[in-house]
Amino acid sequence: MGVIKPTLTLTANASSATTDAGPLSIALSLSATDSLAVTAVRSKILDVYGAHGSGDDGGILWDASDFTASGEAGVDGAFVYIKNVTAADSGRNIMIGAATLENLSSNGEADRLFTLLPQEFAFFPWDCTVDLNFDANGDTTNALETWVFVRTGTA
Amino acid sequence: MAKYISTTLTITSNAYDATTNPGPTTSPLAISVTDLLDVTEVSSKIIDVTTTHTLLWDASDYFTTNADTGIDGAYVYFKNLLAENTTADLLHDLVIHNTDATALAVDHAPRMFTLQPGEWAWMPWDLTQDLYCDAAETNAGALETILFVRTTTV
Repeated sequence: MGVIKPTLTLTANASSATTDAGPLSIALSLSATDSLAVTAVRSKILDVYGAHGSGDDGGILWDASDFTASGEAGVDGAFVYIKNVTAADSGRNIMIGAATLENLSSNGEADRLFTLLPQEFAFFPWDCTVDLNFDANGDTTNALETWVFVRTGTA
Repeated sequence: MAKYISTTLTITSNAYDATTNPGPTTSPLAISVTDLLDVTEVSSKIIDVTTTHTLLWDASDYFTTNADTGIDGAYVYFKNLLAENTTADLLHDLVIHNTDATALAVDHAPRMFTLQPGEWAWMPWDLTQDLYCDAAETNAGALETILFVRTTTV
């Protein structure tokens, strides 16, 4: 067992600021941190493809069955970090979905959890009750970095 | 005029042989990423939870035409504000999911994740589904969530 310490800092200037004006009349400053007990770490950087299913692992980002057989709320799971590492001007959007392996780029696609624009990132727990899948709006090598930290207690 | 929020995420751990808070790998980890996000609107709330699932964010509140990929969306922050009783006590865990149904069952596929006391998450949201919170008992002031609407959302 090991411990990781994630910290999220979210700030914004007031809307009156002359540089990087924020969305509110007041400045925002939010910081959240935690110490998480984990048992295993996995990391990879994936190529992405516009033609869904032709990428590494056929578009599966993380396969739930690789981590647990049960998926019990509050017990089994992991913490996932995902970043679109393509250049800011690449125009390469990467879609993350759950449930079935499919084209995630259609407008209104209900199985699409979110889209990462270039340089955007996410960090969230994952209960290993569904696979996490990825899709993209074109081909780019070394486009998607992801880490999984397995929650201690996962069976 | 564009309006921005700045987000920074760091993930650190000590080496496996550290005497305090040893990490999961033999080398220390130090991940740090930051981004400047263009947003138009902020919504924030702290909600009470019950054993009946609660609608956190209704996608239809934020767009009127369709959920275009890479265009429509938002960024969402969640934090479980409850204190932990014991490690084995799951009553203060909060489940985030995307269907209008109870989501606590083992292997319930629409359950996106569980936030144990003090845990938080940061992720984009494409407005293709609603977001709900489910809990195993009633608690006031249990979950903080903040939503930032992506500027291109129509």
